[in-house]
Amino acid sequence: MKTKFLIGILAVVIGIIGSVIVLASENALVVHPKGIVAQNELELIVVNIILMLIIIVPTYILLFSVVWKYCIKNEKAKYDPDHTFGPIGELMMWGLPTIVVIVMAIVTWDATHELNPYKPLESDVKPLVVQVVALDWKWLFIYPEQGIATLNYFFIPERTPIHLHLSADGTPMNSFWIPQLGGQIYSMTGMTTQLFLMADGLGEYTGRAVEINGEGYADMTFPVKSTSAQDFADWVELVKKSPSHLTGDLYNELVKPAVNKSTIFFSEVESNLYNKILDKYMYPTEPVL
Amino acid sequence: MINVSDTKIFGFWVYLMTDLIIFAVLFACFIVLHGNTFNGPTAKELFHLPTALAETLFLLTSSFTCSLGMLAISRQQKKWAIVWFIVTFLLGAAFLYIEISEFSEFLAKGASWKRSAFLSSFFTLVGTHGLHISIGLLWMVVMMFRIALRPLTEHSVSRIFRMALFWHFLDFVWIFIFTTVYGIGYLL
Amino acid sequence: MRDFFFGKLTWDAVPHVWYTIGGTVFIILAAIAIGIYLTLTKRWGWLWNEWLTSTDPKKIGTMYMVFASLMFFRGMLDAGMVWLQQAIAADSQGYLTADHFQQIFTSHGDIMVFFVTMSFFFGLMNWIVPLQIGARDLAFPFLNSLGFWLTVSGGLLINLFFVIGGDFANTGWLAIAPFSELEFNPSVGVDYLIWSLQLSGAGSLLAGINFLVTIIKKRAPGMTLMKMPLFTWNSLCAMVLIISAFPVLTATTLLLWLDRAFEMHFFTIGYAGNQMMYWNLIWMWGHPEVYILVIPAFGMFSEIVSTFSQKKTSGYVSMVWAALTITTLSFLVWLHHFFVMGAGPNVNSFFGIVTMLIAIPAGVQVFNWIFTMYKGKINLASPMYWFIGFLVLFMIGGMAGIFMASPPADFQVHNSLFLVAHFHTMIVGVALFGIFAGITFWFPKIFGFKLNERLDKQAFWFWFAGFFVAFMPLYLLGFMGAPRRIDHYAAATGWQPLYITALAGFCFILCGIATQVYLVIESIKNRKQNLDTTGDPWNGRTLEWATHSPPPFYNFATVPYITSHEVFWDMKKKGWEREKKYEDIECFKNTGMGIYISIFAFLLGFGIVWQIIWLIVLSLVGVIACIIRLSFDDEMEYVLPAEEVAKIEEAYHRG
Repeated sequence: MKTKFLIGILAVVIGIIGSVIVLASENALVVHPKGIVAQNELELIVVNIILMLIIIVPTYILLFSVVWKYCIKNEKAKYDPDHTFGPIGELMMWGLPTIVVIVMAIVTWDATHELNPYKPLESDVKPLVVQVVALDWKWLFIYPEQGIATLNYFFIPERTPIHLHLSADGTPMNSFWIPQLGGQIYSMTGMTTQLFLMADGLGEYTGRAVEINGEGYADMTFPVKSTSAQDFADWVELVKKSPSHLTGDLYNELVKPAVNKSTIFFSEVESNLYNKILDKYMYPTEPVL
Repeated sequence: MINVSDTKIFGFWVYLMTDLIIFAVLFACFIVLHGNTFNGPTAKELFHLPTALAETLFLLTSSFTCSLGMLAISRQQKKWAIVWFIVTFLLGAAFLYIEISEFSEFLAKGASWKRSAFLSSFFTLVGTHGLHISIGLLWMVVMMFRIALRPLTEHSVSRIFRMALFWHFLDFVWIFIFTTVYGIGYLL
Repeated sequence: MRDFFFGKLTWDAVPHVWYTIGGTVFIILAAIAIGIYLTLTKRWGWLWNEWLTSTDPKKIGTMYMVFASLMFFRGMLDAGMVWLQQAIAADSQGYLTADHFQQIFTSHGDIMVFFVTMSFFFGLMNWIVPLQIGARDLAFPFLNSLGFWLTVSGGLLINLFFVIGGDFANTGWLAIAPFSELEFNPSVGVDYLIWSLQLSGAGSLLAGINFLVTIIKKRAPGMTLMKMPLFTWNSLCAMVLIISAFPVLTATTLLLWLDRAFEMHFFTIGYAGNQMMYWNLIWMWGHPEVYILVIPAFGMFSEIVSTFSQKKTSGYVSMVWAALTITTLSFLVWLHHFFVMGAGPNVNSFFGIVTMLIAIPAGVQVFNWIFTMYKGKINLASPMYWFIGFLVLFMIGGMAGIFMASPPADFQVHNSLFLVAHFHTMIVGVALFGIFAGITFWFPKIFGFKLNERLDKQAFWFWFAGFFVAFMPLYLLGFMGAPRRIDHYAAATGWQPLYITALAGFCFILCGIATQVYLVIESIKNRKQNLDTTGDPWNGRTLEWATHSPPPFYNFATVPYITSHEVFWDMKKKGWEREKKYEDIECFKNTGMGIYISIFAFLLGFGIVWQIIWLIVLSLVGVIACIIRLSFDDEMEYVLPAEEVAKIEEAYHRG
């Protein structure tokens, strides 16, 4: 009996140590935020966990001590088959969780409004607008103000709010997620959603699709890179020299379902492409372009 | 004659509530989608209020005649019961005839369920009701055979009562269809 | 012409890949083996008369359990394939194609939810609810049989693709639109999913209505609602959820099928369809469904903890209100399954906060369970092991759930393995552990002998340890940014060691299942040594323990008057002896109609999937004809005279 107990304790300890090691490593993306949104979301996660542990930990202690003490083998324990805790017990049972839930509710209300994906981020820098279109099974990033676009490559300047408009074309629902920069949002065909992200500094991250959409689902990842403002400007100039143009015909080719992990830079983009994509699903017309 | 605390009748009411929830889902879909015409035919263009009114009158009257049938049952008047249920059946069949004509007219105009989400939800909601009416009519025929061939025991009466409940339930749902689909569709 | 006869069937539907061939061979061999066994032991008649056509809820309950166990093996096979694939698919495609992998976890989810967990619960309810309320049978015995056989026909249809068709849905267990629409999924896989769910959904709905009416109308005299045992109360709450939620599933999957079969546009991405509406509708069903899966387990544990602590359940009234509160709240939280769809902070907060409210009645229940043990005399029999394991896991899973109820936190873990870990913690830790505990607890009542305690405890340890090793890595993987449902990933993510750990945990769980199989075989072999002769092997508190083990098919020769919610405990305290006064008992005949209707329903489902018009018409006519034939059968009941009852009872007393 004692050996089993010790093995159990050892297993728990190993588990906890292992978990700490895993969470401490850089691979634990959610716990190593590189952007203000992810940072705030992580703080919220930690606050929630602590609030819940306030009730959970004492409950575990209570559970194990009650089982230990009143086990049938323990002759010393008092046996009272009709014992009840009465109204005080009822009050505490309903009251304590209610108090914790009220606190969590207030925290949730505030945090949900603060971390609303549609809410602009506070910054002195003017936001960079990027339009994201999820395709089967690739991501298209359009930079309307710069007049360029990329396939499967999300390049952003550091410490600049990025204002994303997201949609999809010819795909089932998709979810756009860069764990280290912020939470996800769905990108849906015929509809547009928004998301604000901001990278704290320089770095390389991974983004991916997080809603199953077919055979190429697991391959629908894209690299994200945040650089200095100057490097970003240089990059835009570089892209503008690219031989590839995102014409209507090429776009229609891209919409066709195929896994495409190549990185392509487009120096020219069909004008108003994003809105044209949305319009396709509002009115019955021939393919847009 | 009808023991309303009969467990089977209670169970049937519970079933009717689940059927109501199915209709509720279809209503919710219609309300969400009623504007999604995708540049195709709209409610205003398609619906004739007089048609819907005729259907309503037929169905409401059939509920009345159905009650007359149940009254005859409670008086053990088999012949009158069958007469009133035949009238109810004819009124229900007339309702179905008008509805099917309306559907054919829409299809001929190209306003099929494939054209837009609005039309999909219209055909499904009204069509599901029509399907229930058809089942009700079949049930009515079977019950008429029962009245003719079997004595009117408490057990028999309970069965006929459930059929009548079903029929009234469908009339109740139609009131909502008339208001939501044709009313809102036409007036808003 | 060809289309009329064969619908969409082509030669492609014949099994031609390794898993469909394997599945077909297995099914054929199993059927032959069973056929040979029944022929050699001349048990066809026995099987038909004693079991298949029975309307006795105890027999139907046992059939539900057997069916659920068979489906459980299928579901675990799927689970094992998923774990194996994920453990090896770092920088490689593994041994499964993406499409096949997606089909596997889809069928795993549907089978485990609809055909395993729900069937186990209906089995346990069939066994015990009539006994607990002093009823002789359910309110509608025929519908009980029909509901069971419809569920079985659904189970056949969901496995049929091995033999005919080769493709199951790859959309995830809820067939999410628009991925499940024709545009992205033209093959019949999604139709198999839809129609097996419709069949089993119809079965569940009938069972839900049946139990609801039974509990409301068929209680023994004196048993007011507040004197019902907690398992019956929780079953009642689950039945309310079933009758309110399952029609939504029926309607929603019907609309999806209309989109696919008739080119309608409810949820398509073109023609102004509304894909978000599918999510709302399916989760309006889906959320109450997951509470249907756990609420009966709460009830079972309430009975178990008070029986083995030899103490009254603490806070009975609070427990009832807690169950009712959870039932009500479960209708108001569906949006928390898609916070990330961009509904806006007001809507998101509302649903998040209401979700958090569920922690309150859940907490009340946990405290009451612990307080029941306080100052009790706890007998740590194996059901108590499952109970303590359940409490440990319930609190972890509950924490994870409340954590995700906060929308911004959910943005970072939605659709990740954290979510997968959460719901498995609840389904395995609460529902499955509850089922295992309930089976051990009530097995002697239904079969007359106890299960082997030692083996059951051993199975528990395998399951409990296995669960931690298999699912704690998934919580961590969620924080590492690992999404669910992916068939391969880059090794640089660092996920593989955790997947391998999870696979090791699965092996532990397999040992647990093997132990349970051995447990059943051993216990049956040694049943004479473990006979329950008194009908009360655990010193029980509620009415079911007042009958013989196993009870006669009519349950109670005389129905006692109920004075409290622990009526048997009170009866024992006052000194109790079985009454010898017998009366005539109304019973319900066996009938094969449930089977016939379900066979036609199965053919209807099959015809609809493959769009074979003549089969659809014929099977529809068959179903209707059976129902009409049934409606003219006024002799489904018969009276068992008091002398017969006396003879059966005397046989028990003679031993």
